Amino acid sequence: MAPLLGLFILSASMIIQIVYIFKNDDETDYISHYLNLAASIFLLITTIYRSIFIEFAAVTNTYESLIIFSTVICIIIFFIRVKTRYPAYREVILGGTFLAFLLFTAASSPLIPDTMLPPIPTLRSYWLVLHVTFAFIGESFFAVSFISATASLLTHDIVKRKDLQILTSKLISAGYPVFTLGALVFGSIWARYAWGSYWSWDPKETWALITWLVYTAYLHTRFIKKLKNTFSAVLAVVGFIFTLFTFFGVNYLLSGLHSYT
Amino acid sequence: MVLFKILKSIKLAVMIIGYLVITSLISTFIPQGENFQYYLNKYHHITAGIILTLGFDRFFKSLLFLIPSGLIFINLLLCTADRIIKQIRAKVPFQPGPDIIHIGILIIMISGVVTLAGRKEGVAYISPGDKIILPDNTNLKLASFTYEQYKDGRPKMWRSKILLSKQNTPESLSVIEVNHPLVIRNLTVFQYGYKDLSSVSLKDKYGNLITLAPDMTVNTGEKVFRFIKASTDSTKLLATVPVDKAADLTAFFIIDGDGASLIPCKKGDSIGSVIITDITPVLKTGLNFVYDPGSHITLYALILIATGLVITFISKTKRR
Repeated sequence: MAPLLGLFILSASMIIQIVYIFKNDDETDYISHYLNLAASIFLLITTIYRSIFIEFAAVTNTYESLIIFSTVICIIIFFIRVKTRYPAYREVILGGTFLAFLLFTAASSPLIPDTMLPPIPTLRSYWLVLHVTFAFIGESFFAVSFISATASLLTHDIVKRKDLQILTSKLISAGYPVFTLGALVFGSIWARYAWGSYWSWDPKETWALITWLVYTAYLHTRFIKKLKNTFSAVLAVVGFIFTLFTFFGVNYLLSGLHSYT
Repeated sequence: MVLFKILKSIKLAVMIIGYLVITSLISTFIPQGENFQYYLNKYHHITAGIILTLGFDRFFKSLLFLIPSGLIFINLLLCTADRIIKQIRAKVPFQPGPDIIHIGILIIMISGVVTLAGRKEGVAYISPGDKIILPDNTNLKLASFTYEQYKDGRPKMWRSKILLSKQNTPESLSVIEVNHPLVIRNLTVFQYGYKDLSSVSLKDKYGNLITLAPDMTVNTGEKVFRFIKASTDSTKLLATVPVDKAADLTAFFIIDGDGASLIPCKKGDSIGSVIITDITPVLKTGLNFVYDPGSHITLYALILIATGLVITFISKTKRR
């Protein structure tokens, strides 16, 4: 029930935001961000319920990971909206809402089983919990930065473009350390305990490293005058595409140690 | 001086990162570590030739990867040293976060080389009562092995209880489980897997003795027998047993010919003219023994990176 309610609320939020954007003025609505917050609460309830049922943190399969992904995106865009009412960010908030909606719809598809199963021994590790939660929190910042970077590349308004680039930079600066901790540090430690080696050049690990390298390049291009605007925005877009491939593409196209889902 | 500037530049770092991204990406689509013939069979001969010549079959050990990695090591080392020196000379408030992260990455790269040079590992499958002598003359004896499943047949827990002893020292009991390895000085022992080497022996009407491993089939001329171990996994068998019966290791047979059926059996039972003479349950635990001189270095480096990230995050938040 909670996931369905979350989905319904996200849809309502999207519709309200679209209406306000098509009104063609700078007015922002006063409801949609609270709907996003409500949706995130329902999704969080889903995670808590599943965790109680399986007697372990519900972060051990694709469905549960996508729930967390959607939840954190909703929370991030809520805070963006609350911290600033700047109209340039309306598209970012709509895009973030849509992305959260898409991810949750993907989770609800028949291709992704949502059966509540207690985890197998390899997944019964608190390092795994830290690995997955921190990685997805980081990736949620990357998801919203993808929207703002794309918007900055598409807009012709120079002032708006600059604001969106600054937003992108702030989001990646926030997400990068969390993602690094989750995906690389905690992930390596879990791998050591589970498989005997910190790093095995498994496709999932390699793609996580590739994603991390792209965002590392992004942060470093912010110091290079010629590259700090358009090129770094392109990197932010590419980085999130790689993030999605690391999660979906590797699971379904490449096999390796991470094939649990 | 010009070379120094180039080697420590951010532009060089970004270029090498771009190269590593593209080549690593390509390598994930090429199966790694297979033999020569595999690539010739799988790809067009020109493609296979390119893969093998450039080292894409073992990309992360090839020069295509190691040389740029070495360059990025130099770049990172020079850049970090330059940053630290500039901050000290300028007498500005020191912002150590990024430098700690960089030093952590440098140490991880060094530990990677140490691991590559010195790592040794081996897997042993042993039954309760079996002994292994470790390189430092410690005796490792498997006291017991427990394997539990959930009701749907998925593994729930693997646990090996081992006894360690050395000359003149009493035995000590330790437990090894998945995610809970045992550290014995420089050696780490991981719960790697298990093997079911159970068998059932049959005597046919001519007195011939036949031994079957799980899922093996024999045609006695009258019927086809297949040994299927009792299981709680409803997706694997035509029928299942309750969890409390599975531990009895009763053997189920599918008999073909007149139609498939499952018959639970135990030692001494007869099925037509075939007699079950023996059922031997043999479960072996798989232990992975790993000696990795770079392991502790990697852990300290990861702690350093985590510390650097936290410091950077806090100082950026404070500045805002």
